[in-house]
Amino acid sequence: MKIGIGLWCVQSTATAPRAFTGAYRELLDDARLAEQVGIHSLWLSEHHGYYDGYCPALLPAAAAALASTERLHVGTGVLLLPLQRPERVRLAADELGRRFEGRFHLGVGMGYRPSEFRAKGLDMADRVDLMNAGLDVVGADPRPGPVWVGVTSPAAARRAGRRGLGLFISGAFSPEVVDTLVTAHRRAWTDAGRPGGAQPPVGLLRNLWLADTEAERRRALDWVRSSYLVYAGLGWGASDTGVDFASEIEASMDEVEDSATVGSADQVAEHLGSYDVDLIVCRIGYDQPPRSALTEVIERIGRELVPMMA
Amino acid sequence: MRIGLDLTAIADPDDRLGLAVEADRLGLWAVLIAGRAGTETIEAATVATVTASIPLAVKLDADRDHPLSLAEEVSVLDHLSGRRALAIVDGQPERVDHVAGLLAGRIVDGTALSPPPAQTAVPVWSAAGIATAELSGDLDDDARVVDGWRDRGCTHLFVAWPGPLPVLARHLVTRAAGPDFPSIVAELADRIDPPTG
Repeated sequence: MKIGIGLWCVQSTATAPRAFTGAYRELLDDARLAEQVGIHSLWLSEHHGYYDGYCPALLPAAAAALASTERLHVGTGVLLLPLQRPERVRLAADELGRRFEGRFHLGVGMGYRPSEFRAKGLDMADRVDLMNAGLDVVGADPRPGPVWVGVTSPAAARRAGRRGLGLFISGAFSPEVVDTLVTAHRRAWTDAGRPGGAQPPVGLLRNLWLADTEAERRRALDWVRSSYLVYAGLGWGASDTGVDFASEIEASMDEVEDSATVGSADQVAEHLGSYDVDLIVCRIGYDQPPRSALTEVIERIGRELVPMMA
Repeated sequence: MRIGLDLTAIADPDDRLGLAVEADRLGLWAVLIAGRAGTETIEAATVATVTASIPLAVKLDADRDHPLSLAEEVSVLDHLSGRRALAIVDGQPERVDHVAGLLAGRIVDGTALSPPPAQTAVPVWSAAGIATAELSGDLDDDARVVDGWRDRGCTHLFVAWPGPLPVLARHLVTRAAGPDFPSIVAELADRIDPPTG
């Protein structure tokens, strides 16, 4: 099982304001560190028009991270395909795939904030059609490199499987839901006559931290809890998502905390080993941890967790 | 007048990267980023990682892509490069203005650019308005071309240059800088320190 880290969103949040230029410099530093300690990949994440500068253009950021490293893979986890012109995304993916010899992974998703669609003159009601039209372009053979589809439903997992595209599963789901999505994906691939020949990979995002003492564990869980504020804020920033983010914030934070994998490298490895997936993306990109804690956990993931999962 | 290097005719991406590094070291004003149409910001982000201070001019087509998407890419490039993005935008004037407005911090069509760029405002130049010249490598001919642009009041000229970049930097960047470069300085410099290419 391959081990990556994510999600680099390059934000300056209300809880942890910082300079964007420094944040992009740290992205490249983190990529070099991840490579040095043997981590497989680093994954970026995208939103648009949010106050915190959440990275809206993953392809130049990925290009810089790839150009700063020699072996590290860099992926978009995920690029919101309906908001882009797919031909442009395809051109960029081809270019990155060629120049960086297969180290670029194109992960795509649909998006869920109506304001992001409106800002580009689109209607979110069209997002499935836009997504499918986009997948026709970015998933067409010969593929530019690994292509993954971020999904939240079995129907979407089947769509990816039928096309022979990889599956990229969000961090919020229970092991049972993960299993359902993986099964739907593999069955659809088999039923479609195994397009591409090799079974398309499955990647799974997990809220995660390595901690040995109870105090470290509690501190890490608080960081994971507070990350909910970023997600909830994205919802508040688009009041018409139909989701009530404000009323049950404590309960929602409890849910996020429950979904997190926090413990010693042994404990984390044992938990991750229970998933039938090809790639785990350790979600460690929270806005709360001090820089020293982030670089320490990157080193520990590379030096301790990666060898255990190999 | 300042001289930038036009990389658009250089076919090999590694050659382009090497020339950008050298142009950065020699203090040319900017590089005009090449690559397949639609991949310029990708290439610029790559060039940004191997250069220190040279501005990165990217050509964009605002009729083909949404102005907000283009402004977002340029803003990220501006941070990645440390304030070195320069957008050269083709398209309908109102769409070019849309890109420029966002990159200057204005709310356009109800949307603000996030993140804002690192520069106070990223320069946005109309693609139709930029000056480019294909130089021959013959210094006498090229001096006349450079003088012509400078004396017509051109401020920034992108040149395609077939020879070694140190020759361009020594003889023509200097000449372009003002109306009174004593060219004997460059000729004597060639004797003291012959250009090796």
